[in-house]
Amino acid sequence: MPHQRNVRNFYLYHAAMLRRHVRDIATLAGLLLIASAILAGLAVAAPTRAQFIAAEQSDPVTLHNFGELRQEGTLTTRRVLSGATLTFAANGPARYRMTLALAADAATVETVTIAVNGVAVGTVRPEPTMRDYTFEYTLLPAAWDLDMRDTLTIGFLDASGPASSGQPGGIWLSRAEVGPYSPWAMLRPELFVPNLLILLVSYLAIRAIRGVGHVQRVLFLSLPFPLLALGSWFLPSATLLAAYQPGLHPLRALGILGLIALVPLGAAGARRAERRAAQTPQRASRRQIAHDLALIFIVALGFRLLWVVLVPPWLAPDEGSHFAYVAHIVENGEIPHPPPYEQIYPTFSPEFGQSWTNTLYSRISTVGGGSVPDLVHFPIAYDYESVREYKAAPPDRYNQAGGTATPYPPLYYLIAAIPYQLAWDAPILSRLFASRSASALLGALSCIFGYLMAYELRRDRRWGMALGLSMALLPMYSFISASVNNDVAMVLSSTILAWLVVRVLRQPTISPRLAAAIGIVSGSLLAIKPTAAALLAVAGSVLFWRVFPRSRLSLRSIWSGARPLILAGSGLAGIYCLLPLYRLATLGAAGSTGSVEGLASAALVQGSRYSFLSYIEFQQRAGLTYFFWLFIKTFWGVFGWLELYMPEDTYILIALFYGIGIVGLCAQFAFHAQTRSQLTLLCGLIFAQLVFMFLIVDYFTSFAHSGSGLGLQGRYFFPVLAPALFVLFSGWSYLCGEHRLFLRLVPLGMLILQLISLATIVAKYYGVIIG
Amino acid sequence: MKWLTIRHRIIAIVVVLMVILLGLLPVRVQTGDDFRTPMNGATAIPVAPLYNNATVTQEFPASGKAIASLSLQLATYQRRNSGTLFLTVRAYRDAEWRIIGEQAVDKRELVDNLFHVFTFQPPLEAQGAEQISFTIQVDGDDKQAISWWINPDWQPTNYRLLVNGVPRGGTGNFIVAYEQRTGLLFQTLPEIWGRVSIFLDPVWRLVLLMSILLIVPTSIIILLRDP
Repeated sequence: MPHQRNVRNFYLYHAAMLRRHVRDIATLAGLLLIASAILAGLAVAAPTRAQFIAAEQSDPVTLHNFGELRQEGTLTTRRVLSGATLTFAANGPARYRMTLALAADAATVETVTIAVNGVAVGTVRPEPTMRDYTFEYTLLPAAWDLDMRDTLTIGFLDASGPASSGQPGGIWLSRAEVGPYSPWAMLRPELFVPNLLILLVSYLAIRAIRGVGHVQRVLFLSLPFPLLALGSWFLPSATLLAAYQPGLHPLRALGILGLIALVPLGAAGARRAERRAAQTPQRASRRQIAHDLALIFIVALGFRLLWVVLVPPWLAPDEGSHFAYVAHIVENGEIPHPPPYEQIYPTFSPEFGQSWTNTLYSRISTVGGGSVPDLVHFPIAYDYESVREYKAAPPDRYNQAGGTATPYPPLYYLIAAIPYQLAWDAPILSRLFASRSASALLGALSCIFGYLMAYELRRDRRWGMALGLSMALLPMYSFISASVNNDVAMVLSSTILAWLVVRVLRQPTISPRLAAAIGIVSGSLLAIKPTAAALLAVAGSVLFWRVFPRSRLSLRSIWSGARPLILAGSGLAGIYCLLPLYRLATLGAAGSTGSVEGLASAALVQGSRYSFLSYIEFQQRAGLTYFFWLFIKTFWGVFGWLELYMPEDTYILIALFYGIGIVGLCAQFAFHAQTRSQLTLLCGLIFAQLVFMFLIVDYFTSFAHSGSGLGLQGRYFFPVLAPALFVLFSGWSYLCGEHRLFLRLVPLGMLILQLISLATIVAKYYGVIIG
Repeated sequence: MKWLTIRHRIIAIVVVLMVILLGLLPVRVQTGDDFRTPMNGATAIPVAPLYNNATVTQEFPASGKAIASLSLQLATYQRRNSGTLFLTVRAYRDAEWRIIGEQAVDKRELVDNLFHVFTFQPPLEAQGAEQISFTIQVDGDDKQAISWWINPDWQPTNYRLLVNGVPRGGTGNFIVAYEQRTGLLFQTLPEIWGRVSIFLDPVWRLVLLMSILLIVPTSIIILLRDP
C-alpha cells in the first residue's frame, strides 16, 4: 500500500507540475509555431536568380535605352547607350551579385558607372575583349524607395560612345546575370537570433500577465501577437540586414543589436511598471510648471530659429506658394482668392521669380528644376551678397494669388503677414526669414501644449518635459515649423485641442471656460487648414459623452448638459464663420483644385469612378515601402523639397522604436486598466486622423475620380503628433517598468536625431561634412 | 546647497564631456567647387598628337582659393612613351599671367586614356573666381607622342582651349579638385560659419548666433533640473 501511495503521489505530483506548466508549454508551442511559419515564409521567398542574354528574348527583363544588336562570330551583343537600364524583377530583400559581360570598341575610352536602383556600385572601363564584371548590391527591406522593393535596375551611367545607335564606338553587353550572393537559409543566424529574441520577449510578456483576467489575456493574445509575428520578420530582418551592410562600423551594428536586446529587459520590467504606476507623483506647483514651459519654449524656439536660417531659401515643401499667400496679403492688400480677378498679375511675383533664380533653387533641388540638379551643394564662388540684398520695387511684388495655397483659409497667413509687414522694406530673403520666424514661434508654442497634455494625463512633470521636449526636437516637425507653411498653425491648434479634450476627460465638471475654449480652438483649426477636421469629431464626441445626462432626464440635467455644447458650438461658429464671411465678402467663388474643399467638390461633380476596393488594392501595391516612407521617413525627417534624407540607419532605428512602443502599448491596453481610457482617447484621435486622411482626403478627394492618390506625406499627420508620441512613449515606458530614466533618455534621443538632421542639412547644402 | 549634489556634478561633467566630444568631431569643409568637364553624350576626341614641345593650354575660371589637384585625361596611343610632360599652371593677376605651379612627369608613368592626377602640396593659391590656365608641353619626336582627350562640343564662357597658342573649339577633359579644409569641429568653426551664413545678412547672422546661445544654456538647465 505504501508503495502504491508513493506511485500515486509521484503521478499526482507530476500531473500537478504539468498542469502548472501547461500554459508555458502551450505558449512555447504556439511561439515555435509562429517561428516556424516565419522561417518557412522566409524560405519560400527565395531571392531572384535571373539571366539576360543579348541573343535571346528575355521576358522577365526590361531593357531601356539600349541600341542595336551586333553579331561577331558566335557572340551576340547589344549596344549600351548612355543612361541604359536593365530591370530584373526581384523576389525580396537579399544581397545580390550581378555579373555583366561587357566589351568596348577601341575608340571608347570612358569609364562607365554601374548603378543599381540608383546607387553607384562601381565603375568599369570595358576592354575590347569581352569580360565579366561583378558587382554586389544589398536590397534592404527598410531601404526601399517607392517601387524599389521588387526590382533591381542596373543602370549604365556616363557611358561613353555615341548617344544613339548606328554610330561607331560604344560599349556592348552580351550577358547579365543576377543571383543571390549568399543563400537565404532558414537558419541564417542574423535573422534567426533576433526572431528568437522577439519570441522570447513575447514569452516573458505572457509570463508577466499571470493573475490577470481571461478577457485581458484574450485581448493580449489577439492584439500584440499578430503584431509580433509581423514585427519578428520585419524589424530584425531590416535591422540585421542593415547592420550587415558592408562598411558599417561594428560599434553601430552592436548598438543596433543592443537596442534589440533592450526588448526582453523591457518586458521583464512590465510588472514593475504596475507597482510604480500605483505611486502617485507629487502634484507640481504652478510655478514649477511655468518654469518647465518656459524652458521647453526656449529650446523649441532656439532650434526652430536655427532651422529658419539654415534651411536655404524656398527649399521647404510648398514654401513658395505659402509665401506668395503671405506676400499677397501685404503687397496686394487682400486675401488671395480664386478667379475671377479684377487685375491680372503673374502667379508668382517677378521679385519672387528672380529670388528663386538667384538662390539657385532649380539647380540644387530635384523638384525645382524638374531634372537632376547640377549642383552638389551651393557653390563657393557665387555672388551671395547680391542675393542677400535683392529686393524689388512694390509693382514687382504683386502676385495673382497664393499659388497652390490660394484655397486655404487665411488665419495662419494673417499671422505670418505681421513679421512680413514689419520687414516690408527689407530684402525678400529677410522677409522670408521673418515669415519663417512667425512659424517658429507658433511651432514652439505647440510644444508647450504637448507638455500640458502629457501632464494632464499623467500628473507628472517628467512626462510633460519628455513630450514637450520631444516635440521641440523632432527633426521633421522642427523643419516644417521653421518654414512658411500653414501646417504649423494647424498643429498648434490641434495640439491645444488634444489638451483640452484630455482636460474634458479628466476634469470632474466641464467649466464654461473649458467648453468655450474647445469651441474657439476648433473654429481656429478650421480657419487655418481643414485637414485636421477629424479631431473636431472626436472632440465633439468626447464633449457630448461627458455632458450626456447619466441620471434621469430632466430639464435641469438637459440644460446643464447642453450648456457646454452651446458654448463650444458658439466659439467654433464665432471663429470659423467670421473669417470666411470676410473672405467671401472680398473675394469671389471658391473652387480651385489643391484644397480639400476644392477636391471634394470636384469629386462630387465628377462622381466616383474608382471603388474603395480598388483603393485598397492600390495601397497594397504600394506595400510596406510606401508606409515606411509615409510614417517613418516623412514623419521623422526628410528635408528640402522632401528629397534630403537622413542616414538610412536612422530610419531603421526609428522603425524599431515604433515596433517596441506599439508592443508595449498593446500590453498596457491589456493589463493596465488605469491608463486604458486615456490611451483609448489618444488612439481615437490618431485613428480619426488616419481615417480622415486616407478615406476622405486621399480616397474621396483624389483616388475616387483620378485613380491615383493625393500624395500623402508624414507631416499631414502632425495634428496628432502629441498624442502619437505620447502613446509610443507610454508603451515604451510600460515595458521599461515606468522607470524615470526612460523619460530622460527620450529627449536625449530626439536631440541626437536633431543634430543628425542639422548635420544632414549643412552637408548637403553647404558642403560641410561633420563626422 | 541643492546645486552641489553629486548628481549635479556628474551631469555637469557629462555635459562638459559631450560638448568637448562634439567639438572634437572631424569636419570637412569645401573651399571650392570641384569641376569635371561634362561629356553630355558627346564623343571625346584627341586634341592632336603632342610632341616636339607642342603645347596645349586650357583656361578656366577658378571657383576656389586653393587647387589641390588637377587631373588630365591623356592618351598614349597604346604604347609606353619616353620623355617628359611639363605642366605649368598660371593665374591671371594684375593684368598678367603669373606662374603659380609647375610639375613634370615622365611619360612612361602615363596610362593610356586614364586621368593622370597632378597633386599640389601645398595647394596652389588660386584666390577665388580668378582666371586660371594650365599648359602641358610635351617633348620627344612623333614616335613618343601623346595626346589629350577633349570634348569638342562644350565650351562655356571663360573656358578657352589653345593648341600651340592657337584657339580651338571645345574643352579638354580635366578635373579640378579644390582643397578641402579638414580638422576638428572647433578648429573649423570660422569656415563652417562662412558657409552656413551665405544667405544671411547681419541681422539673421545674429539670429543664428543667438539661437545657439539660447539653446546651450537652456539645455544644461534642463539637464540639471529634476522634475
